[in-house]
Amino acid sequence: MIELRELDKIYSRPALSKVSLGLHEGVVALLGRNGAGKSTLLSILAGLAVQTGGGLALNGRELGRSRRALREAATLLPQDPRFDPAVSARTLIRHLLRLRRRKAAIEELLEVFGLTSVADAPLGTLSGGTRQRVGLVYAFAADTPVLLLDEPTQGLDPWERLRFADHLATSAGGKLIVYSTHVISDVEALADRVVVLDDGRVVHDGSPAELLKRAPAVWTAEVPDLSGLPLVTSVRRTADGLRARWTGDRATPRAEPAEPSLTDAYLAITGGR
Amino acid sequence: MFAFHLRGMHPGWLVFTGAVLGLALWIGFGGGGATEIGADFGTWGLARLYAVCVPVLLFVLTPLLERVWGVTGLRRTWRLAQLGGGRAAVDGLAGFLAGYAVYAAVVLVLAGYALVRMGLDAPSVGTVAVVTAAGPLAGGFLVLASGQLAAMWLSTPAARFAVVVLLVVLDATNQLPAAALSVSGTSLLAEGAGVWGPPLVGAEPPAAVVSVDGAFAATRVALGTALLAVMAVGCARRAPRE
Repeated sequence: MIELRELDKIYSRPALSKVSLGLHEGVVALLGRNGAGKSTLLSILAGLAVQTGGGLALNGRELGRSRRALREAATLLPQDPRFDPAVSARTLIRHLLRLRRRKAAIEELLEVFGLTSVADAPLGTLSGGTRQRVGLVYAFAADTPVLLLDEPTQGLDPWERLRFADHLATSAGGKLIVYSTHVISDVEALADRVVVLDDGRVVHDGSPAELLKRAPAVWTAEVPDLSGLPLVTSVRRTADGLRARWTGDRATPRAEPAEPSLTDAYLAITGGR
Repeated sequence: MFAFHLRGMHPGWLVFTGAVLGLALWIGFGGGGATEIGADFGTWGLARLYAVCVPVLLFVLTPLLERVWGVTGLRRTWRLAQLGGGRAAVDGLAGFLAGYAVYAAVVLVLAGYALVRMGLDAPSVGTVAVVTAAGPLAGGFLVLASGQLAAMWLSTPAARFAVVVLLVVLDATNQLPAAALSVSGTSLLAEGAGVWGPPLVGAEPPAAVVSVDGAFAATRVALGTALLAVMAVGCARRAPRE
């Protein structure tokens, strides 16, 4: 659906470097530290930013300078979208869809995301999580072949995340959905594919299982302190000291192997800086 | 689309503004005295009507309409909707016209009041209509459009208010250099009809008929169209680049 070839984006410093990806139908999770280039990549995929170098094709058609086709095909829900506080969810969503010349019945989506009772209240009176759900309703209502969600579960409680995950799974058919997140459990539950960016470069592109395979050895042990442990991923206080979990070298003969997780793999491949 | 742009209007403020202007009209033209609206209502009275109501309207409505015209809010929406320049221009113009429609509605109500008070069969109906409706509608459009352009280019609502105040004051004192730049199109006509000078020196103004000159109207239409075109270009340039 979207092909990126050797894509560069430079603001005051390089934000993306030689990014090559073939993005097709399915759910793609975009992981990376803050500032890794996730939002920049999503903006380029939405046609709201133009790459500094490299090529971009949509459905096999090379895009020149115009981003019109990309904007028609994609909907981006930005991280922390700033809505007019005076307008209601229903009015805003209808206006945005009208501007995009898209007709959609939004009542069902408002119901799915639990917004029916607050759909006519000014957005300024709603909580951050509720406003985030308003953004999700707009993004899903736009019903474009490409859906780009920048940290869509930020501010959502566990029940709301569950609702989002259910809807994402049921509406993903025939679409390309790219979403950036810091919540690794979302990736395990939802994504067919994981792309990890680090300092503007793709450092992993594959299935969650393939990412898991890149996890280093994981160890756990009771230790008096954390000195000498390579990369501690969790620690809790016990009666005798600290129960630590770490990746890398065994570090102490008392250490026992533990089951690696996607988080371990992610931390390992982005931990070079 | 208009309804969405008008979402930021506070009806309470509009009612308050209308009540204040209505009171001013009633005090000035409620009956009795040389300037009452009636059979003897002259162009001097009309000029006073204009001089009181239009600047007040513009001063009050300009900040009130900031939520409708605010470029920051528009740009935010355009980015969220991933609009290109063409559609952003259409939406920007719709937003301006929605705000202008509020101004126009109040002007028409005030003009209607004046016309009904003087009687629709009075010989000076045409003059009253020009001075209280046609002039303020055309001139207000140019003033508000100029303010909108200033706010867009300088990225501050204060620029809009400053431009509106400047143009209104210059017009009220007949300092604008040409008919095309007159705020309402009425002050210059009223001046031409000889109703400005005599009252200022204590003389009674002559009876005069104010009508719209064809060339003057054409100049206004051309200038209004040009301002809208520049506004459309400004909106398109402020949309996310395609």
